[in-house]
Amino acid sequence: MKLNSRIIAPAIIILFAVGISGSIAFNLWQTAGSKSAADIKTPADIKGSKEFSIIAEGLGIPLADMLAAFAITSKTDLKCMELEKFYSGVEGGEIGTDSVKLFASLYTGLPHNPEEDTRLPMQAYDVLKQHIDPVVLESNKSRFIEVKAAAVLPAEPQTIETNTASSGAVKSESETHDSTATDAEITGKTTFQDLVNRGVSKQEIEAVTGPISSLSDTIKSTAEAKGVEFSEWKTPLQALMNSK
Amino acid sequence: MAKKPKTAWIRLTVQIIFFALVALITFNHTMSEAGISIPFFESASIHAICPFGGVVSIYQYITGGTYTQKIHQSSFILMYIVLAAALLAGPVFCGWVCPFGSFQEWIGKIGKKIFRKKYNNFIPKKIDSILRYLRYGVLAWVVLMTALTGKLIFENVDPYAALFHLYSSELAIGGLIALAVVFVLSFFIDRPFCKYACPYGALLGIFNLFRIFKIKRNEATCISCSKCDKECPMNIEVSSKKNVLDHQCISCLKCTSEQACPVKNTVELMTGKMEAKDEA
Ligand code: SF4
Repeated sequence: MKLNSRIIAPAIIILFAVGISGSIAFNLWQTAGSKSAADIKTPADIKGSKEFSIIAEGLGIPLADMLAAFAITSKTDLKCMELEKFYSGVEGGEIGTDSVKLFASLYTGLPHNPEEDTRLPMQAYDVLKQHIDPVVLESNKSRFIEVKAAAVLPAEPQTIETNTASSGAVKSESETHDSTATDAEITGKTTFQDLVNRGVSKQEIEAVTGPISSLSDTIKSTAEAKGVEFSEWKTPLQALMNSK
Repeated sequence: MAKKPKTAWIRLTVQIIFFALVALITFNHTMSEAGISIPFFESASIHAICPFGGVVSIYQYITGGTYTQKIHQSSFILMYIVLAAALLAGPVFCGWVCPFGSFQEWIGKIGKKIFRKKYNNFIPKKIDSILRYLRYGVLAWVVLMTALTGKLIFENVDPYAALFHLYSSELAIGGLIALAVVFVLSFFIDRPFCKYACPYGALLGIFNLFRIFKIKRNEATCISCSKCDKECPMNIEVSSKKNVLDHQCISCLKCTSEQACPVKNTVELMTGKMEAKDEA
């Protein structure tokens, strides 16, 4: 049997197409992994694809402060790039990934050179007021603009009970601890089965953790056995569970 | 002798398709990091769509069940696809798919116009044949260091990654220097990186020893014109072999009766015995 160009060319394309689409169909095609908070050490490490929760953990900023700074009341986590969609109609500058970098820089004192038109919502000013030197804050006053949160944020179902009534800033962490979401918080004792019971599929879990041998194992012990920080899995799994 | 239909465009088309796909996917990835991306189009880092990532990650995956930094399941799936293709027809990935191989080949076309017969024949044979084993050293170093560190060690000097990071903040200076070196060498040598340094090419090259479809030459019909030798980008002396088992063959089919060989059914990619009756 002979092969020539006219056979090899379509065969290669079909082989790749079938292999990739087959793995997509079986939920095996994954081009990105769980992003580790350890990767975020400075504002420059913040990318559009990074979640607030990862940035918060990496830079040691309370997630509630980050969400409040960007007037995010309808979500418990989001990717930086989503901000541009939320604030697309804003006049007087841009609120997007670079704004998160600027906020993180002001909050932590780590250096960052923002773009000229990078802006922060006035809500960020209120958050920063409680944490940073007023002189630094004042020198950046021109960066803050008034945004009507209700007008720019998409109406999405509320996922944390304590947030449902509020259209203003997100409640503090201590307040959210009383919510039903806290009841479902992943702890050292949580097993993979607990996640499945809350509607997270095994494939979704494995997308974060890689293959798991037994659903009855605790997440923490499995992470430790694989030499992975528990927090590296906890954040994306918590986000998955919250989204159910 | 009847004029043969030209088929070189077929491989070129496949190469362009894969090059464009990889360029678009990685460009989309860079754009999405900045918050803008092409809708409904895959966005992935160059590492996530590199089948070699699967190879370097194997140790960590087997021992710890995790992937090496920046490597994902997609790399493993691509690795399986490429290995299956190699088992069948050798390193077709190198000759038909790899965008970096295509990049070198396209630059080489300019070199061929400039240097003509001297092109791809600058390095003395003795030295060249030793240098050809260098890539196995690179392969061993990459696999070992990745296993020891859990990091993509090769990334910092990888010219392939650098090519698709030219518009990204992830561009490593070591990779950029390697890319510049390969770029310049490609004017003189056909596929210099593939020949001397590519760790993945080294691995796939081993499949040439036992692949199912092999490049075979019919000694009975061969007129010893050596056109196959001259066309081979990897400088393999096809005219002196019955079966091409050379670890450097990239299954490009340039030597076959479909392209360089002027005699029908004399150099073929095939399985089974080459019969004398295969004569034209
Ligand atoms: S010309 Fe023939 S021997 Fe040389 S690399 Fe291509 S297929 Fe292999």
